[in-house]
Amino acid sequence: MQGTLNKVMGMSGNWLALSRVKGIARYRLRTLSVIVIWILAVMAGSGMLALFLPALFALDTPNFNGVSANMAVAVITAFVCGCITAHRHTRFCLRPGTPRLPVWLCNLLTLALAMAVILVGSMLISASLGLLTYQFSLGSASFTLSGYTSIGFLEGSEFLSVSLNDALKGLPRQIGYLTEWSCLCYFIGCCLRRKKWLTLTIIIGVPLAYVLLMVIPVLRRTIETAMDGQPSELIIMGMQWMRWLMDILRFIRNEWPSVLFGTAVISLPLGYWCMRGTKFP
Amino acid sequence: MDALEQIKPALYVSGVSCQFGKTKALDNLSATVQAGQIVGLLGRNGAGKSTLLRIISAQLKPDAGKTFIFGKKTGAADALGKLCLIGDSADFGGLSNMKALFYVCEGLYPAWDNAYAQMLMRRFDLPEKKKLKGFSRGMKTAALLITGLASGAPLTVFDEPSLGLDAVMRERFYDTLLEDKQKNPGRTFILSTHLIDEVARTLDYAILIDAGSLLYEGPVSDLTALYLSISGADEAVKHAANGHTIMKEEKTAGSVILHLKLKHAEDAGHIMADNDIRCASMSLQRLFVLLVEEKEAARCAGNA
Repeated sequence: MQGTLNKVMGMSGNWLALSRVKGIARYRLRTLSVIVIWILAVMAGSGMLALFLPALFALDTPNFNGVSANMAVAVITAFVCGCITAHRHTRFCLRPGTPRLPVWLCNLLTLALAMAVILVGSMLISASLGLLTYQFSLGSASFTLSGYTSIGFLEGSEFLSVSLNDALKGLPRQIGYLTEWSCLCYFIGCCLRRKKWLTLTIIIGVPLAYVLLMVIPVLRRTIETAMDGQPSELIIMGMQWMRWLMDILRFIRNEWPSVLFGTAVISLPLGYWCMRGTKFP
Repeated sequence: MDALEQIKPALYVSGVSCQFGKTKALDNLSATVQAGQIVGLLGRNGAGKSTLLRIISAQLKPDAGKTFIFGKKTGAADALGKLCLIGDSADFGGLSNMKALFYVCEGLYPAWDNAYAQMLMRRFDLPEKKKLKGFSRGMKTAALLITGLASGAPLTVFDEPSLGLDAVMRERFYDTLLEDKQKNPGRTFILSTHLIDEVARTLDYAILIDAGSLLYEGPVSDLTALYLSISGADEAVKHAANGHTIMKEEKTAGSVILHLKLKHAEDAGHIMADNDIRCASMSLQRLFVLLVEEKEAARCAGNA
């Protein structure tokens, strides 16, 4: 052991060896893999239930609607895992006296990796369920595969292969979005660790206040117009509402990728800054 | 020792102060720990030991002062990579069993010795595959101690290492510590505890702190050589104590016990040569209590 001691003393300047990156990565992958396996198992189980239960009780004809990666589950998991990472996992990694930079770096990388695994896993589960439905559809009319794809409405094996192809094409972009979401979720987790109530107030309070400030005057005007009993004005107002909603949807559709990317980029240094100054018992 | 001979102090703490609200946890504390020693960071509950350890391990920023590990400023990977802090909280971060813990530790510590860890696991009677959640408090502490010992970190710090351990396991830990020290003369251990007598036999060096400030810092042998308890008839004892500082006087039936701080360590020989009095060296714990009482008396006198 004296030899290994000399080895450690001679490692001065070797950041990679002394920063404990390997250990943090091992720890994070070990703990996150448990969460990922559980989520994928639940997704597979619920998919199977959704496929077989209606057929089993003759409730409905199960129809497979196409191969897709479950982005919603992945984002929710990213938020939950981001919070766990910022709290418990960071505390464990820092406790023996680990520098904060490698902990932050490994936290982000492993979080993004785990979420990508969930996304790819959900797509594989979806594809497997599609294949299973196709196999059953060959022997029974109770199972069908049909839906819209990039080349139009298709059925059967053609639908399965085209929708799988479509899903694969969209996967890199989805992984990119999920990575951005992971950065944002980790930042929120760090803020929650540091100032829980302030963060919750901002996350919930600001959008709520914004919506209320926008909606309440419009609602009041609508009620006043309805009381006055002028149907033509009500129609005009309804159209204005529709236009307003369409504008919002258009903005989200066109600008959302840039907004998300910008937020993720900003949350990276902010997340480190927040985590660096947080006390850990 | 090779390269270890030329290395800087394992730990250098300079003028560290830290305050929580109105409570001063550390007040301008300075200490130096040379490499290759077993050091006791001793103090009462709330003396500031854990705060100091949190500052050393960069978990807490001091209000003033600096800390260095092997000459490198705390916080840098170069410094922290040579440190292993085993805290008093048994948190395994959700890892399932000892096998998983060792797997992670192997990556965390560059000098991790897996064979040694396995041997220690058997020595401390810990099951490899049992869930860590199901461990008793003593078993959890033992698991933490194993990670500290097998980490091979040049500076290994144990905060309250005996928490929840039974007497047999505690002694086994201190024996293992001494064995490790013999095998690795360059390795530095710091034991932070308030159970002073228990760790006294293992210590080379002591840092005594109370209410956030330093009471004493130096080799244990120097400390114990300067203090002596003498007992006997009133006159004989008082005569022997002449010229030395009487820290405490206790009266029992027919005799007087004086706890003395000697002017010079060599004076102990002269006092011991006196046949009319009985001499005993003071335990580290007794000494610590006397030093605290002396400090408190001085503080009260100052306030008055």
